[in-house]
Amino acid sequence: MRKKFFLAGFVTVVLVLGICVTFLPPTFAKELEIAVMVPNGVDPYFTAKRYGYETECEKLGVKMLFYDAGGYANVNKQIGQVEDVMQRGVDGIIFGATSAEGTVPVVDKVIDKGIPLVIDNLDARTKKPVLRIMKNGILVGQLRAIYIVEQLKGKGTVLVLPGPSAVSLCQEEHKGFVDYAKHFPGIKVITEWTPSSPDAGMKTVEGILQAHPDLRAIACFSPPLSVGSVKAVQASGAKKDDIIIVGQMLDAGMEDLMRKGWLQGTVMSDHIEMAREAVRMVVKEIKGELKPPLFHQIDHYLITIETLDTFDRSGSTYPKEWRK
Amino acid sequence: MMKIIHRIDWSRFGLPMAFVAMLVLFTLINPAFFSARNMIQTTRQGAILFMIVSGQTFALLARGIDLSQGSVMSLVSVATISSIYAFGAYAGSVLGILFGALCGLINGVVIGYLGIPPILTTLGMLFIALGAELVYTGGVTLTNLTDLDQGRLFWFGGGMIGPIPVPIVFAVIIGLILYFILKHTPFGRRVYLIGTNPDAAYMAGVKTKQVIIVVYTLSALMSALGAFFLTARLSMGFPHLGEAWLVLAIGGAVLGGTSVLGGKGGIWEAVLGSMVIVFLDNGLIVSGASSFAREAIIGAIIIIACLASVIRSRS
Repeated sequence: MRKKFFLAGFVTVVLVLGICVTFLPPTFAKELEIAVMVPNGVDPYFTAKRYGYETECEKLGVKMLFYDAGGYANVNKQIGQVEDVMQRGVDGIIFGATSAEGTVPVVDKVIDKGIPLVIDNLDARTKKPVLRIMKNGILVGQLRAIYIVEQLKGKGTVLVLPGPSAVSLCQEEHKGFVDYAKHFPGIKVITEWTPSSPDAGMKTVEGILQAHPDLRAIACFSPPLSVGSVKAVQASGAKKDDIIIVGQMLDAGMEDLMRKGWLQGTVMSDHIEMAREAVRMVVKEIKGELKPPLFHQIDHYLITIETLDTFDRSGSTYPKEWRK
Repeated sequence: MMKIIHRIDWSRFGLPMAFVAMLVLFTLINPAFFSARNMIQTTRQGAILFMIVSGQTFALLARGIDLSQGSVMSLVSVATISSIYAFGAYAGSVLGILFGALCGLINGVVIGYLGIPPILTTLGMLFIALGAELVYTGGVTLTNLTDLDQGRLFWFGGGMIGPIPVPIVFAVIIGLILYFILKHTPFGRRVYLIGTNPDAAYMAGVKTKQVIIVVYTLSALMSALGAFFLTARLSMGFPHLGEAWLVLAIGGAVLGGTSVLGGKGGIWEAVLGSMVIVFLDNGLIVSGASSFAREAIIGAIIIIACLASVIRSRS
């Protein structure tokens, strides 16, 4: 009797478990886990994107693991991180490369292993089919060049700080700037490749101001470089508007500099929305709803003090309460 | 002429003469290099590097090395700004610097009392400090000081005392104090003795553990001061501020003439090494050398200096 009672209980439990597994949503059956890998997490651009990744993962019920290589020079560290997440067996990877060429072998390994992958903005130049969501580096460079050339009325010396030379986006932005500026013989372009840090920007601009006292404008790749450039220009005794500085992105520090008149413009993109889209793309690839190759490019716009208070921030700015 | 050349003590005067020759060369290439403004701004960069190099000098003199300097700098940068949010510019700045010194104290205790080699201990601290500040900030650059605090903080990094930038004034004072400590106090002599022969120092009754603790605390304190002046100038807490500075710190110390094998060198060497690095970098920018060439030239010079230091110490 006891044996029959035990058997009936066992069958009931198995049935209940079976029903649960069958009828609950798939996310409850197995929570998806994706790795988001960025090259330089301290850059405000990646901070903002992290907000996009986090909120979208939360919305879709996906677990997110966040990896920061800690700087564009740390190619080996990033390769190690990718190998670690492959070992861990994540369901998908969103990847921003420290080096366009240096990360190709490890990215190829990910693709060969069949792990769904989205390259987010900082390209690893693999020849294998992959999903990409990219900024338009050429357009970013052009937007800065158009603004500067217009402000200088086609004449003057311009310093371009494109950032780290191994990064694909920096190369594209630089190309966009230089190719546009070539049409104006009065514009002389000086290029200085530097790490994306404020002290590197400051030191470089200080030196360039000595070599080129006629410097009229600076185009910067990132907020840290923009802040460093402004500090060097301030220290040189130049007045606001003597040297036009155009950056990229907008964080609290940059906004403050713009309101005070030291930063004249910055190129924006809806990068938080871009991060959300990257999450949606990788989840679709995991579910088999999206197949590589796919190249999705986002749009850009330039803001100045005139449009600072009116532009739509929803795709580019995270709430202040976040990260506290 | 040959007699004069042979009479020169090249190990002592070689670098200062090369430094002067370098200044002349860059001035000939572009006279703007020798302008008062460029000399002052480059010396300001050198003043900050000198602080960090002088800290490394203490560690090298005691036959050690401090690999945690860069991370401690980053930690101090964010700790200073965070403390200023809570306690205002002056108290916050002191707290930020003390954070850095605390890292050095821990290094010293682990090396001195637990006997873990400096290279491993400070490598561990490199990751601990970096991890701690990244966890704390979430990788976010800290800005948004009040105008009052920003003004007060900025004076330390970007202000002037008469015609001289504040960091240079502080660097001179710090340099004189450190020179006095090394050359005219029993502690300084013990540092040299430990670096020359640690066993002999122990046999002579030197309390090596205490000396080591002070050495690494000083090393971190100097990194913290360098980070503080840099943070003050930028008015922001940058979580990767110190990333590029460790190589320059070791390179500056060794280039100046401090031995990587301990016991030889000092504060004058730290001054010289720092100035050569910053003026070389600036001179290359002003003369129009490409950024790639600059990195390669500075890297090559640091490697040659390390090699020369080892050969000199062995001979």
